Amino acid sequence: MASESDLRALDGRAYPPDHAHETPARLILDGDAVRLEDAAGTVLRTAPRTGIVLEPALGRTERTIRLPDGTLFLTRDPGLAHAFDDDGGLLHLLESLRGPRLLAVALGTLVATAVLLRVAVPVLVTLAVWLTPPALVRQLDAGSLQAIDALMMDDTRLPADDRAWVSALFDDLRAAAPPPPRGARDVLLFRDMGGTPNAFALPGGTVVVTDGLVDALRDDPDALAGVIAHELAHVRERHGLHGLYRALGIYAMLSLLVGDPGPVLDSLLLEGNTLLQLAGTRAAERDADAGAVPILRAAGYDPDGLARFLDDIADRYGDGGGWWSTHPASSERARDLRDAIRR
Amino acid sequence: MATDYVARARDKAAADDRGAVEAVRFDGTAREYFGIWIVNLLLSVVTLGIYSAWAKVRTQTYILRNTSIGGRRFDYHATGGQILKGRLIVVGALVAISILTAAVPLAILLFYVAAIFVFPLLIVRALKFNARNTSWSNVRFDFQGSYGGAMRVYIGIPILVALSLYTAWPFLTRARQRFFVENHRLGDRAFAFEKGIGGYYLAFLIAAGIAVIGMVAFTILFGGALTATFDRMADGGTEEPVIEIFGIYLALFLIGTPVAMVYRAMARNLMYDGTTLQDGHRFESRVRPARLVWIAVSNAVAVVLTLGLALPWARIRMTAYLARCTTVHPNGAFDDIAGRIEEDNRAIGDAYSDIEGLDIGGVGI
Repeated sequence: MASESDLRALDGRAYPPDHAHETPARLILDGDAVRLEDAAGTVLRTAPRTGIVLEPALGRTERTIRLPDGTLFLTRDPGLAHAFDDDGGLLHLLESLRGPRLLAVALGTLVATAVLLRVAVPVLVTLAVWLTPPALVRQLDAGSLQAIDALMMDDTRLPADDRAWVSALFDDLRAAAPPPPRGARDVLLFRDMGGTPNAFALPGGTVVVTDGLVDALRDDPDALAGVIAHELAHVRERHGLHGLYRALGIYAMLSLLVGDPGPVLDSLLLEGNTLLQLAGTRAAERDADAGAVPILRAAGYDPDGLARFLDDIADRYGDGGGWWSTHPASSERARDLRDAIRR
Repeated sequence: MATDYVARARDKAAADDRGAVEAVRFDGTAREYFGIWIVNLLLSVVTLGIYSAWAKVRTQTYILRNTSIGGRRFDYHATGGQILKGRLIVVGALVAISILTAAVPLAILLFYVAAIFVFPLLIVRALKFNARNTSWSNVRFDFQGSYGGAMRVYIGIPILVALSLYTAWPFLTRARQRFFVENHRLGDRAFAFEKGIGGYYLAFLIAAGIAVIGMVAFTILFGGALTATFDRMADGGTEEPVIEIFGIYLALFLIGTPVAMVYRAMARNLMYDGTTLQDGHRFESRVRPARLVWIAVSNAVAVVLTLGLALPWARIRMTAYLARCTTVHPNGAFDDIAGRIEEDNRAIGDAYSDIEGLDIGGVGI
């Protein structure tokens, strides 16, 4: 038996394994051994010093010590720090910061979050796009077309010579543009959307032009070239895949980082995520407008055609834009385009 | 040695005061939780979300260790590694499903059908993982609900309720609460549930009344303006009704929040009042619906205005309020409760509920 001064005793309460019974108890560290005694000094448990686990501190909750057989010992004894040579753990120290140090941690978190959204997410998205197998990219186009055809598109009613000159224009632009990214292939398709003028690109390089668009821009090949060049730019910059991965990544990270925000806030958070995605698609539209200008110049078309078309859209359908839109305002896009042309 | 220890427990139990009321205590503070939350967030962000599994454990442990009944605290036992594994599997599956449905859109129908069968399984798994990794006074909880039982209350009864044009909704709430309560164990003791349907219909009628009053008020205040806008649109106007659509949305939110919160508050009270633990410990909940609506709405406003910094305060405030409203009426001593529960490290259901927000529905807030 060690001398009285070598003993280190902690007062607390103990629970037997898988038992709710609570008893005031004293944990005694005696060299390499540990023993648990009740108030009367009866030994309840003994264990080797190495077999017991002291859990890291958490807030002001009682310190938790687990014996190998599942006995639980809880204590607030201030002697614990000395007995176990324990400072509560690094996490607890960080969590207990106050004043300017806490402010520094908060600011660090803010900066880290900004870096995550601005740098890490785009890098991860680019990596995911690069890892996507080419066969999958082509299948994305086939699948989307199937759904679009079933839901909102009919076969084209354009006469063959119309299709011929638009195809020739498409080939001009394609030849002038940088090569399509890995897995993508430039393909032009005609569809009718009830006469509505529209055009869009799919991730694998499929560009769809509606009858309504060809009809509206028959007399302005520069404008039609502008629209198609804009779609080719979407394909070059891989906006489709980026959007898909970005939405998935931000959704997963938001739900994991925020945890359970409680009632009301959980639905607000979903709306916030939607707004963030809309900001993403608006940025992609601006990029595609900017990317269209060099393609049009290289192919010998007047890039102002696209700006004219956007002005026309603004006149006919309203300006659009704003935080609730997938596209920026048409007038803003036309202005940015003309700025890019002058530069 | 162990038997000696337990035998003395029995003597002490016999001497314990019977019939006293024990309040549920919550001792967490916003100040302290803010530190934990901000460190969790910082580490989660710099590890691209990976640390969030350990952050969840730390948060749950903090909340549970600060919650106590009769001076005996709860505790949380899941490990970050288990939760990370579950989350990686769930995130991987969700990404694969998203890409697959983008490539083969018709596959989404297949996933919808599969979801009907997988969803109840995930709920049972989530409840089981949570129960088995939660303890009170060194005794673990368990959840023994079956897949068939979950199918019944999460798929079968909802279909019948829809056929009743939702007039049977209170029966669904009660069925889910029964499934939740009766399948929980504390050690080897079962929880029992018995509650008449009357209170649920009262809650339902009050919630429906608030919805009707809200919609009437909205129509009187803004109906004219909305009709005028839609008339102009029908006449070929080109303005976008953004303000109007946003306004309708906001109104639905402003009416829907109190409706849902009032119903949930009353349903929570009914659930606790209908619950007993084997041997007769009873529970009681006195959440005031108006107070709960106020806390939920003011929490949300505070969090938005502080760009999220008030989240820890909001969470502590809500947890403390719910604890304050909850009491236990013991029948005999707590010391006798015991029982060994199998370990559970399969966190897929729990991870799914963290990411997609499983709606367990009608059981607590």
